[in-house]
Amino acid sequence: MRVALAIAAAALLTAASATAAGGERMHLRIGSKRFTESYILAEIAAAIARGTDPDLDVSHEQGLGGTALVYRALKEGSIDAYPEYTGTIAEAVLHVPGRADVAGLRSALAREGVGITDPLGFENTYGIAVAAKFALGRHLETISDLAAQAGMKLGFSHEFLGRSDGFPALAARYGIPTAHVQALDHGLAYEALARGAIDVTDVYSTDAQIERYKLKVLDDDRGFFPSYQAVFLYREDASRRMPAAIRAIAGLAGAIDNRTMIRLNARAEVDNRTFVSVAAEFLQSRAGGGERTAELRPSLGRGILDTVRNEGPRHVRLVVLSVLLATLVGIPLGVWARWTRNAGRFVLAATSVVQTVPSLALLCFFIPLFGTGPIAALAALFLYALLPITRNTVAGLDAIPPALRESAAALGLGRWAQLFRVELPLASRTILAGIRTSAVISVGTATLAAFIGAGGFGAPISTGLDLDDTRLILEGAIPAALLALLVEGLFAVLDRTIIPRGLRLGDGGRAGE
Amino acid sequence: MIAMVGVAKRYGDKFAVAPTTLHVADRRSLALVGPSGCGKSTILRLVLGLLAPDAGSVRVGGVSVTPATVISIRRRIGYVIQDGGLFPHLSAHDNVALLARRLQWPSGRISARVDELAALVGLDSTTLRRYPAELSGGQRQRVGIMRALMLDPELLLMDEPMGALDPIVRARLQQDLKHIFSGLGKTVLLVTHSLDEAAYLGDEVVLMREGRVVQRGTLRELVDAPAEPFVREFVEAQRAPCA
Repeated sequence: MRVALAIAAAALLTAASATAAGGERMHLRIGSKRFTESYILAEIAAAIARGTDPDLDVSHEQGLGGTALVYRALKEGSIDAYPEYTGTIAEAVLHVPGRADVAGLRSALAREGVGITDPLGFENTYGIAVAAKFALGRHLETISDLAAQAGMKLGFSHEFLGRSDGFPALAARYGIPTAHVQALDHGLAYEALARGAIDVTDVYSTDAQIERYKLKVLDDDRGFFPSYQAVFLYREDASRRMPAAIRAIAGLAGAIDNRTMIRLNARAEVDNRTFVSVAAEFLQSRAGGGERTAELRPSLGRGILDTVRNEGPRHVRLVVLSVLLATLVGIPLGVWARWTRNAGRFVLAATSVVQTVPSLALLCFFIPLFGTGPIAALAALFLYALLPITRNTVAGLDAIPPALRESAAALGLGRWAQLFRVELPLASRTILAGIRTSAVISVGTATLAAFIGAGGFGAPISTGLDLDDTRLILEGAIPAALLALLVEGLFAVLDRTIIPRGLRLGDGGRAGE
Repeated sequence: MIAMVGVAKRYGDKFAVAPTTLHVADRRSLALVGPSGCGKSTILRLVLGLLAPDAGSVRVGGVSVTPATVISIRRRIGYVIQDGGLFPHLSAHDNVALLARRLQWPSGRISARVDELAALVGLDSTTLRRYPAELSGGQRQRVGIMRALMLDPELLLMDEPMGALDPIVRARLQQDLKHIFSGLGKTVLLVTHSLDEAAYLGDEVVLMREGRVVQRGTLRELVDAPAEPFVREFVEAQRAPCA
């Protein structure tokens, strides 16, 4: 959830920067949540909106996060529209119990200045699935049919078995015998079903794997599962400013049924097509156009190069700026902490506490202060980088032998001359080691900046995590790891060039370590 | 040159220096001896203003040591500690020249003065280009003495300057120091635990114990007319191995 929040924040950030660059042209921003279906629907809406007016700027703010964040982005105007589900709106946005109908949601949302389209034609809810052949052989159409069967091997995900509105309630409603139910990982359930190890499992009703494994989702004839019909939410003011675009998106109502959505999900997840090309494919077939070869995703090596080119400068900028700022603040802070013992202990304790806050939480903490984007990310990275530098400054000054400190004073050097001519040079090696630690940590932590929309190597990682796409994760992780190694190397060189040679000899050299 | 009147310094409820009055005349050398913890190093720190006395006053060259005067007083004092107290990040030369550079001496004057001092302590310019970690103990001590003499101070304070040296190096340095003291006419306050060294380098010896002065005089006076039994004990303990 925290990750989801962070991602949403990231999307908000890009939205904000887009606003600044927008100028006079109208700009429609479509948001999405962090899963394949949401990405595809957002791309479809973006393509449709573009078709209404060539002068309209349309952007897709990808994978902003979970419901709370994306809805907030919509209400605050960071985005103008995004795909959502009726059940989610009722439960997570409006907090109204029971099955939601679109008319009821529409009037409730109108009070918040938000419009809702008619249902797009498919539902993404929990479903009960069996192999298509198995259903044919046993004449299974509905869950009631299933309950009438004997000797079925049931295998459900841990979550579905554990939720109070999951399998226990379903079994009670339909009278399904609950003995011999196997708990298994959701990812393994499809394979288990294909190999006949189980006969029945729970699925999301538009899951790409339904097509891949030729499954049949049984009809929920007693209306047990809540209704999660897909719709688009949009800002009322956006529909006033760009009526044609919003009307075109609303025109998607009834255009995407469950089978179509499953196929589109499978095109992206199973066939590795880009979201843009899956959306284009859908629109062409909808317009009655011929099949078009969708573009395949580039190779891993190519993907890494693209990441380095597109995200590298932003990542490096975040790291350099945060470490530079932390150095400019951290060294004086460390000196001050050393001079004023009590205040110093407080400063160190405070920076240590910051260090224990999970990075994502810290990133999210800054969203209300700085919004999403590079400023919030910079603030969080700066705080993280601060501790190693401050602590090493204090440690480096502490490690100076009292005799040397006294020699500097007895020589007749003033307080500042003692600091700049003797103490800081003597502590320089330890301080540099602290800056190195900060820089390496910062390279890693900066990948999280993508979750609040600051971009960087974390951008493919966050998308990859959402889509469970290892290759995409590697496209971000490998450049980040290489950058960390580069930073280590750079500091090894700095240690040899800027540290006074006398400190690297004999005991003097180790005193600072 | 140094006038300490009723000076006391305590740590907690223990006196490091009990109320003590001590005068050192111009161009005289005085050696403070006594067992560890007798307060002899504390006396030097009080003179340098590194410690503030709890009672009494310290004057150096007629100027009272206060936070306002302490920097200028320290620049009139050369301070040498065990193993030289050199800054490891600076070469020997830069250690010696550090303060003169701070005071913006012209570089010609600095190098002339460094050359002069190098000749005085018997070091060559190659050695001065080295870092402290590359020098022997005796060389470090000689560089420390050069640094202390750089501004040509009237007063030299030395705290166990020979403490880290082996006997042969120590003997040679003792001779050189005696030569330097007499040649330059400095006022010297030397702290040592060795009575022989004190007698060799000091015109007078001050024997301290538990923060107070037990007896002041020449070695002869301490031996012939000990002020209290401790003086004889201390003298005999130091003489014993040689007897």
